[in-house]
Parts: sequence; C-alpha cells; structure tokens
Amino acid sequence: MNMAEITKKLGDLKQTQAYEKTFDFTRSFIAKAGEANSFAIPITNEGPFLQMSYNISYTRNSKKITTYHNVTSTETFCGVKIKFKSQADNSAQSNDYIPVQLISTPGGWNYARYGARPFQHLYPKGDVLVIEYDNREPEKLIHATPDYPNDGETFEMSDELIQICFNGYIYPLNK
Amino acid sequence: MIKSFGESIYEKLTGIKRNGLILSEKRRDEILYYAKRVRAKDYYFSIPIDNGANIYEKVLTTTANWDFILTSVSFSDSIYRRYGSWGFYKKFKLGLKFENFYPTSPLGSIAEDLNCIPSEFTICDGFSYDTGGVLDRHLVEPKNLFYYLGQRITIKAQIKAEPNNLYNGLTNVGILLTGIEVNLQDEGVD
Repeated sequence: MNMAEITKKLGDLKQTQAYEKTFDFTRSFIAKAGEANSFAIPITNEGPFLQMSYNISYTRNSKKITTYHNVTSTETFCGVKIKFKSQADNSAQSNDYIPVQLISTPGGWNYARYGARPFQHLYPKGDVLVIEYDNREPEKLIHATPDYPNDGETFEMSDELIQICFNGYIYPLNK
Repeated sequence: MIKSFGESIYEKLTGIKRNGLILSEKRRDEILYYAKRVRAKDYYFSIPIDNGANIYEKVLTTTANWDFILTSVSFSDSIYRRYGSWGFYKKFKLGLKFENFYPTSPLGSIAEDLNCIPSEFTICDGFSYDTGGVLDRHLVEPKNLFYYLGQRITIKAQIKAEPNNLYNGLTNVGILLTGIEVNLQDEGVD
C-alpha cells in the first residue's frame, strides 16, 4: 500500500469504529478577592469526556494577621474554595465548597507538585462544566477576651490564580 | 459479595486499555454505560475543635438513588491558622459513624460492621492526627478503603482535641470523604 491508501484506510477506520484518546482539559482562572462567583466552560464537542483525575495548583497571596495572647504573626494563605458541577448531570460533584488545598495536587505550595487526584466523572458530548468558587474572608475564630483585649485576626484577601488540568479520555462519536 | 460487585463495576471503568486503542462499538457503549452510573463524589464538612475537650458533632446525608462507596478520608489541618513555630494543635480524635435509615440498606445497621472507620470518637490511633507544626501538611489520607455504604447514609462525625494539645481557643478541621457513587436504578445496557 502506498501512503495515500494507508491514509484512506485509517480514515475509514475512524469513520467506522469508535476509539478513545487521552485528553487533558485545562482551565486557569483568577479567583477574585472577596468574591464568590461561578463560570461555565463548554467541554469539547468531539464526544463524551470521561474524566479520570485532575491536578490543581494555586497561589497563596492572601494574608492573615493574627494577634493571639498579645503575639502578632502574619502568614500567607489561599482561602479559595471550589465546587464542580456538570450541567448534564444536574448535580454537584461535592456536597459543599471544598478548600482548594484539600483537593490540590500534593506538594508544598511553593514547590513542584506531582500526581493527580483520581476523580471519575463522565461528561456527555456537548456538556458544560460549571466551576463555582468562593474567595471571601474565612470565618474569624479568634476574638478579643477580657484578658487579651487585643486578640483578633485580620484577613487581607488577594486574587488567587487557580490552575486545573482534568485528565481523561474522549470517545469521538461519528454517528 | 457486595464489595466484589462494586469493585467489578469500578474495574470496568478503570481497567480499560488506553491510548488510542480502537474499541468496538459494544465495548465503547459498555464503558460509557458504566461511566454514566459510576461517578466520584466528595462529601466535605468542617467541624469546630477546641482545647476544652468538648465534643463537636456534624451530620450529613448522602445522595438519594445513588449508593455511596467510601474509598478515602482526608483531613484538612486548620488551613487558616498556625501560630509561629508552635503548630496549632497536636492531636485530635475523630470518629465517624454511619447510619442508614433507608430500607434497602445493604448492610443494615452498619456502624458495628465498619471497624476501620471507628464508631467512637475516643478510639483508633490511626485517626489521630499530629500536625507536627509543618505548614501545608494538611492531608492525611487513609486509602484503599472500600465500604459500600448504600444510599441516603447519615454520616455523623464527632471530634475532640486531646487536653492541653491545642494552643488556641477554637479552630475548624475539615473532613473530606471521597468515594464512588453507583446508580443501580436502571439495569440493562441502553
């Protein structure tokens, strides 16, 4: 067979049989400081997307200033919580917002991250992924007391960059 | 038996060959059929914890019509709090109890059957959690669980700090229960 024949045969094969291919579906977004919001992302129209896992990395720009027993300390943190939802499924993939640290790829926040979190979900062809996030101030748990009137905490929320890569398979459908 | 049934479904979803393999239409339909009826699901809640050895409790219920199979439990450190070099608290004790009020529960009263997830909050050192003062060490994930819990399961979590191990008045601990949900309402391939 010459190259043209091979190409034609491969084309015919794809037209007549279903196959799967690996697919990385990525999305980065800025979680605006002090906001809770959601946005929708169309997933490929090529065919159903079977998500097997995802990677998430995040920045840690927000600041927390705490005074506890007259000692003041400052640290940076990421206060973003997220929730995924498939429009076709009409059901969220978690019962509540989940702190991004808890489902992100393991590793120190300022080091390389490795691995992926297994999480299977089927998005039908043409489905839309809805990502809801909440980057508002967390609940304050430290308060002034009669003995320590200066105790308390202040949050300075900042925009955070969230990067997500969904890993899975696409089943291109020809019919 | 229930476990092996759940596992067999899971294997159908994950055990497929990969990377451009040509699939028969039947095989593809089979994969998508099981994928439609098997999905991952997270249940998250946070519970307060203090140094007064008080017991705090939270309850949630899993989805109706979907049987929940618990595969891992993760804890978040108090992600918002850590003070100097102290570390925030050293240990807490957590217990999870599962109750099923749904009449078709595969396991009936399951709290006694699930020894791996303790039904009492005072138990099992495996679920003690030492933060060690290490920043971002927020995950402890007992893996390879496979508990077929059923649908509409009430999950009750109780928690307390060991006395004198908490260097602050109050914080929250996040608990993430991850698993697979299986829909058995519709038998037969489409």
